[in-house]
Amino acid sequence: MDKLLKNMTLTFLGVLLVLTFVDATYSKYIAANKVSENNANVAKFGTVELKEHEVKYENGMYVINKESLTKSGNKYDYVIPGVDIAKDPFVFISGTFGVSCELYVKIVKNSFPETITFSIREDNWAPVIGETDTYKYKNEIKLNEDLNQDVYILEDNKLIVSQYYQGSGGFELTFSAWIQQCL
Amino acid sequence: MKKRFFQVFILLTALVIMSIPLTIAYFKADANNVNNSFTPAESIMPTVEETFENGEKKDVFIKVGNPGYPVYVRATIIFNWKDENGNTYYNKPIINQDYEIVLNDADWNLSDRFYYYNKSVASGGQTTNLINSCKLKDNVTAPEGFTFDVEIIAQTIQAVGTTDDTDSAAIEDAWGYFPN
Repeated sequence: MDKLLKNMTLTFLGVLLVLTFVDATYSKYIAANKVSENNANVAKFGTVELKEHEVKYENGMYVINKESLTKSGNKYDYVIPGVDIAKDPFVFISGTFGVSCELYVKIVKNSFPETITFSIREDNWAPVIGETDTYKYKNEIKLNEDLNQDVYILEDNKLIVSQYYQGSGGFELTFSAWIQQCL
Repeated sequence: MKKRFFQVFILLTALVIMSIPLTIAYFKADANNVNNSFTPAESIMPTVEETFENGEKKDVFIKVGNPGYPVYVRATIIFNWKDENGNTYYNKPIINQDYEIVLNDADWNLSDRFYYYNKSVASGGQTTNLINSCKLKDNVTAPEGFTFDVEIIAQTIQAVGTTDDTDSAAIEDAWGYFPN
């Protein structure tokens, strides 16, 4: 029993040493952030927001109103066969990032009909292999680059509704985005 | 000795558990979600409105209801002699011989048995008159047990949207007609 406890203790010591090494390698950003605000070496990070403009419904069609943003997403009460739906989600990146970062978006469909489709802007986004409906921004967010840009997601800012769409119930589409440190 | 090792063991376990969050704490920031909800538009049956007095059907027009989008309208008019049970006489009434009718030709075009309204109608709207007046001619008598019956069947179709392949309007694709 004494020998068993001794061996377990030694094993844990070894694991602890390895994890301490990993901790030191990957948590450098956290360590930098804990430095006093007066220190010029504090790592900065900007902001990332997901937005879309409000749509107006006019005579059977949705039109994007570039003057106004929605707070949490548009509600579409009239989905009509053969009438495409205007929608322009985009990621707004601002500020500077103290580390190089990558930007991702994920699209979640809920009861989404097959007769409605959309394409992702290939000039901005590449699909993440192994992940469903997840895309990575093709341009790296560079270290200390002062940003103030919109990155649009949907090709032609619309959903394409087939003439064969037969609505039998409501459905949802959720966009999420995140930015993470390059590894 | 056992007690000492046990204490060390507990301490090290605690240290290992505490270190786990730090090893995966690289920078990540989430943006807010954007959520959209969608509801299919409904198809609303149109209604035929008319005035009927003294055996004359007047001011017949179509109301399209409130589907939420503009529509095109067409109607067909069926003339019969009908009995009280809805049975039709084997001969049909003949225009200008048995009955006379004044149609609104300015706003409605006849094509292949259907009268097509010349323009789209907004949701909640109505057409102008299809029939201004329709009645039996003077001195015409219906077959015994039958009365002169005029039935109007109206249809609407969305006035927005196109087909997938040819970008044709729905009215062209479904009805083979496009209003001038």
